[in-house]
Amino acid sequence: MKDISLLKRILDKGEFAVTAECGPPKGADPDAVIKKAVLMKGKVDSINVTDNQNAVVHMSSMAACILLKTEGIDPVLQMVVRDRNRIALQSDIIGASAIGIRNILCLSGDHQGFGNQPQALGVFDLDSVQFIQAVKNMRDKGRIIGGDPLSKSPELFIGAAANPFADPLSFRVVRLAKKIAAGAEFIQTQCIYDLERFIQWMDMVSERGLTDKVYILGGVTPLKSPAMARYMNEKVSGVSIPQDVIKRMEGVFKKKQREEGIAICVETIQRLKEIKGVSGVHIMAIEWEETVGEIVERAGLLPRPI
Amino acid sequence: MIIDKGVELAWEVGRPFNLEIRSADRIFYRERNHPEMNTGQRRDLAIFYCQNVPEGNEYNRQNLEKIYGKHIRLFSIPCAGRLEYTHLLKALEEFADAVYVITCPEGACRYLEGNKRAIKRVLRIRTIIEDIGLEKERLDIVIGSSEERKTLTAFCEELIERASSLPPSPVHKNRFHREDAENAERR
Amino acid sequence: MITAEQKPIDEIREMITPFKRILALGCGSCVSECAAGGEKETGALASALRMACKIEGKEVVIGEKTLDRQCVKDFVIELEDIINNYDAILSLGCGAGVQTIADIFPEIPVIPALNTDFLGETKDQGYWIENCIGCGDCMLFYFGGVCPLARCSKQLLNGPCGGAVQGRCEADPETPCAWQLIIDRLTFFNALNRLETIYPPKDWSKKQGRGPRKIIREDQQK
Repeated sequence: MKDISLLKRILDKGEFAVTAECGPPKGADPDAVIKKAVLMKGKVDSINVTDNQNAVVHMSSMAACILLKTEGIDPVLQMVVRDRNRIALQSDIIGASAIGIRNILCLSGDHQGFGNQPQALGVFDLDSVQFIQAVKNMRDKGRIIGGDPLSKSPELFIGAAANPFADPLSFRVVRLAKKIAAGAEFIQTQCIYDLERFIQWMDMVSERGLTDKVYILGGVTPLKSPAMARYMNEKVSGVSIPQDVIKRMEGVFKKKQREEGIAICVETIQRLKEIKGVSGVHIMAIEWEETVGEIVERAGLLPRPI
Repeated sequence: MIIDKGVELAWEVGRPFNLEIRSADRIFYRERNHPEMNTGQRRDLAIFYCQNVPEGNEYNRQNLEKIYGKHIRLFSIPCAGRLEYTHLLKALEEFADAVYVITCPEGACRYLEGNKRAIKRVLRIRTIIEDIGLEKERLDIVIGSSEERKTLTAFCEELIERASSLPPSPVHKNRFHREDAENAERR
Repeated sequence: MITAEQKPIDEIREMITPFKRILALGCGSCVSECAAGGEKETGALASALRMACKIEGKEVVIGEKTLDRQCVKDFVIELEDIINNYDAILSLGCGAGVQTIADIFPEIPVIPALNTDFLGETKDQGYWIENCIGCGDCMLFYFGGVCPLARCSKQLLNGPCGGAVQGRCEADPETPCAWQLIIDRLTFFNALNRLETIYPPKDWSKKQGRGPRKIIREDQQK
């Protein structure tokens, strides 16, 4: 059976897409990946696999994607430019396509200083925009950087990340436009808690005519506790959680906090469904994959269209 | 046998110390020995002081050096912030068991930040001397008090007393005094 | 200029252990400017090392000299007359200086007293910061005089990334986001549209040559 991008098919049909995230283990254990896959199978269209997130060594994204495929899931290969030069990146792209991976998310990556290998060299041979462009040229023109032809072009649905909440605010839309011009076809945003700000960003994006050119999936992450909310607000770059959301989490008994976090997540998704230009949702429930099914169901997004 | 010029001292401040270097580890220096001095427990000090210290004038400085003989060398500087690392280290290397730097009180430096800079520099050299095996107490900052208006004379008394608790510097194990040098030459 | 810092004194002492007659050699250029290896610092280090040796009871001669530059053959040759008085040179020059001396006087061990750091500016007294990585293909015009390779932690040519917080880099909150600086600067010059261009991948072969990079100018030769 020919491999196709399920995500692309659903988005092209105009359906509201649902993607989720799977963090590979910090070890050579394939079952860890399979377990997470089984929890989310059938509840989402595609599953992203992170690439050494936070610059901490994990099982490679490509290997975990292959494991997801054995479960019949359509994976989204995340690839950062921090660890590989252009030779390795292009090589991995054609390799990914050859083994049937059909979605790629091109990212810069967290700085190596954050992780457990702070003495590593950060490669950054290409940046994420140049990487997107390289993938597009490989796919559409069958050529690598420098012009040498490929014997067979990769088939990939190209995605990029966007952060509506990062500085400098004024420039975020220009950067998004560059990614789209370079070849990005779908965007997954950083997790959204401040819907007003997100709507402002969406307005600027559609004003520039970009909503016609790209599928935007709004990111969401269910909160487990008020401490998590405060931590993310202060320490995780690009995440901003409004005070009333934090207060909501603080205002319930400990036993009910997870419930509240899920409820907030579901409400956010329901609001996202109504925003013009938003084509789907990307649920990032790292180490809490068991909630994805519940969230999708409560948000009224089941069953998933085939 | 003279070692090359590289080891000559050139003091930018105060007046030069007169040294003749005869060998790498023996230093002969000219010293004024007051006959009434009991040199038993006394250590040899270098005191760098901001010229603003009360009674820090040249007459008083010479007088104090006469009184304390070889035990105190006094160096007047326009501002403690002008101290260089070489001044402090060479004093410790050449003769001093302890080096003290007297600065103006907080806020009273006529160059505004000189006293603060002196403190930072002394702190830095203290870690270096500790690394090479000298007690860090051999180098210290003494901050003048704005109320007391302690004089240079009073500082000298206090510091000679303070330094007596330190053992002689291990750098000068083979220190010779003038009489010994003269005796050696006569032989 | 090139910046450097003195190695910890323990490390230096370990390296000079086998030698009895050492020349502490300073440099009057870059390392003087960053207070690591100039005449004063050479004097201070030599003094500290002599004391260390005396305390240990070791007989060691440590001389001092400072050259205008250690990275130019014409200056280094000046050592010819005195070099035979020593069995090692403790160089307070940058890596370039240490190696120039070692090349010109291959029979005498040359020990580095400094760790060479980066190409940068003196931003303020006692404060030096990197601003150039020597990429061999300067694009500063396009970025309003702020280098995204030297000053962006991820070397993005099509930045910014999504991690900056209030104009500070995600990797180091003390560092301003270089892209914020670039955007501000180009906005001031009404040239922000320059950033709509997708800058292509960098030619890194100009920075990472095949072996050490060189410049040869025949018009400058004898």
